[in-house]
Amino acid sequence: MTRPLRILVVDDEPPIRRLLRTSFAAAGYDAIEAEDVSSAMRMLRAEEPDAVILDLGLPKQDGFDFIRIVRETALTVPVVVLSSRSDEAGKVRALDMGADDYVTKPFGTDELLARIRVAVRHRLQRDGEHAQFETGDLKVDLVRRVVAVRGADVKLTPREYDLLRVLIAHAGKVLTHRFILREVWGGDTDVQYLRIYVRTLRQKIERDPERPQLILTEQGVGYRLRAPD
Amino acid sequence: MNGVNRAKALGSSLAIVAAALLIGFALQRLHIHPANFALVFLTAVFVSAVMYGLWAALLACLASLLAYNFFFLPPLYTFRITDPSNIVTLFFFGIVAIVASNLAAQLRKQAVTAGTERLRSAMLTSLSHDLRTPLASILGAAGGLLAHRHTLSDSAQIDLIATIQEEAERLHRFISNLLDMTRLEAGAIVPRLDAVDLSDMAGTALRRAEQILAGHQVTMEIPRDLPLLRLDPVLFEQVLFNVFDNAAKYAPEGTCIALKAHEEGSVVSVEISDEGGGIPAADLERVFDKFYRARAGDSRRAGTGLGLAICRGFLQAMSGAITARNRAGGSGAVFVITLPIASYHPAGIAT
Repeated sequence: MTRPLRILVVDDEPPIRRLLRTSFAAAGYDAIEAEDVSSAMRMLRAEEPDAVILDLGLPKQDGFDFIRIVRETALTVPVVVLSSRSDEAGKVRALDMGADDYVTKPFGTDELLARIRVAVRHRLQRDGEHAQFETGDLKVDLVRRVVAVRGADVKLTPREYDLLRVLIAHAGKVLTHRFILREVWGGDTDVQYLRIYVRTLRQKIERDPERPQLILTEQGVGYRLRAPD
Repeated sequence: MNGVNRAKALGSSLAIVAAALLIGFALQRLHIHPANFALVFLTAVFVSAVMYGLWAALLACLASLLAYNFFFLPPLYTFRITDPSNIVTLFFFGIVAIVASNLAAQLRKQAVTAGTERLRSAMLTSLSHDLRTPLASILGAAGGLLAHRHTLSDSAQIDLIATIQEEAERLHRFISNLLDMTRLEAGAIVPRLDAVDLSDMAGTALRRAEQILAGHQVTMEIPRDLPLLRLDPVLFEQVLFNVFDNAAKYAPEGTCIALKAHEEGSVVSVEISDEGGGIPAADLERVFDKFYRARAGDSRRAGTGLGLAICRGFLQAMSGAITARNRAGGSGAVFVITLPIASYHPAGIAT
């Protein structure tokens, strides 16, 4: 990429826009701003940003409208949502509608930048899956289907491997329960299955399954695999 | 007022009328004129109004009219009235009783409001202190940074920035608690029940409380085959966070906080114990009251007085419970949470 990453910030709160503008500039990104959905759509077309930071609670048309319009027009720009605590339903809805990820207010700018980088990377590498995946203690050979933790091979059941593979395909991104169930079980299986499989998978790959470092729980939303190193 | 309380209030007001009736019989033996008994019944109506409100008073009024007529107005032991002057007496009795019960019920409402006012003023005191203290630190630190940015040493700047961050986080926790409490009181908590894994939730709560618990050692003992629990994961994570937060506040740094879980019939019991000073025996129940705080004379800052009240409220909404006791051996508090098991058992699925 020749030009710096350009990020469109859609938020009606000037202090939040100022915070993001300053932090993005410090990280070497180019920030452009919109305060409502219609001006955001205009900037999306005129400026072609690489990612969008979107506040869900906008006046008039809200963030959900924006996601809907963006996805209906088949724009592939990654969207990271700013949401409030105790609005898990809103997060899940935004993700199901096509948002890529979210951060919960109040957020750290490091966390937000990490989410943006992951989302942009996933959009760029849609087709080219890597043969090797590595994060923390975990090393997975996706061709030979070999899983190793701290150098020792780990035996997974086919289902556990499928689950891990889906998480790896979206490493660093939050995945909703519904998404994982559809990808691994291929339908509306009960979320309890997923919880049990995550538990057994953690017992096999986490150093301390009760303080997981690899498969992280996003309470009320889904799971997130640690981004590759 | 719920149905049970209302039935109780109505029953009590009838009991008061019955007492008035007994007094009437006693007065009758003293040959006091029956017209005076009306005043005894009027007193009964008034007492009902003050103690149990308008509806109870109206019921007392009706019961009094009937009893007075039946037992004291000739012809006795019938509901008939022959003397027109007695009709007038009954009529005015009815009017006075209704007006009096209205007034008394209003008085009672005001008394109840005064109680709410007291609670509200306790809340305002807590609010202004807990909001202003971190705000003062944040404003002070930010102002200092802006004014003296050229002369402050790097380490002093980092100190001030760290102050801003820590105090803002404290403010954030406090505001979250206030919102949770408000949602609870408004009845706006609708748990989204789901079958969830306790170790998963304990792990995320611990992650969130990482900074607060930096000075403590936390151990967890959760059986690997513990059944899934039926609860709202978001609410329950908050419960665990608040209990951890509480332990971090009241147990000295360097001590151990232990979480243990075990199955007990149809529930799972989770015990979180610390090695702090424990809870005075008289306060084991009161720690769950709104705005209850442990004595905070020493250096550590008292909490908001909401954390444990929220725990209890959230758990009750999910058919769980929380109680407090002190450790049997050594000092420290133990919080015991019981939770319903999801109908579904992990042993039931093949891998």
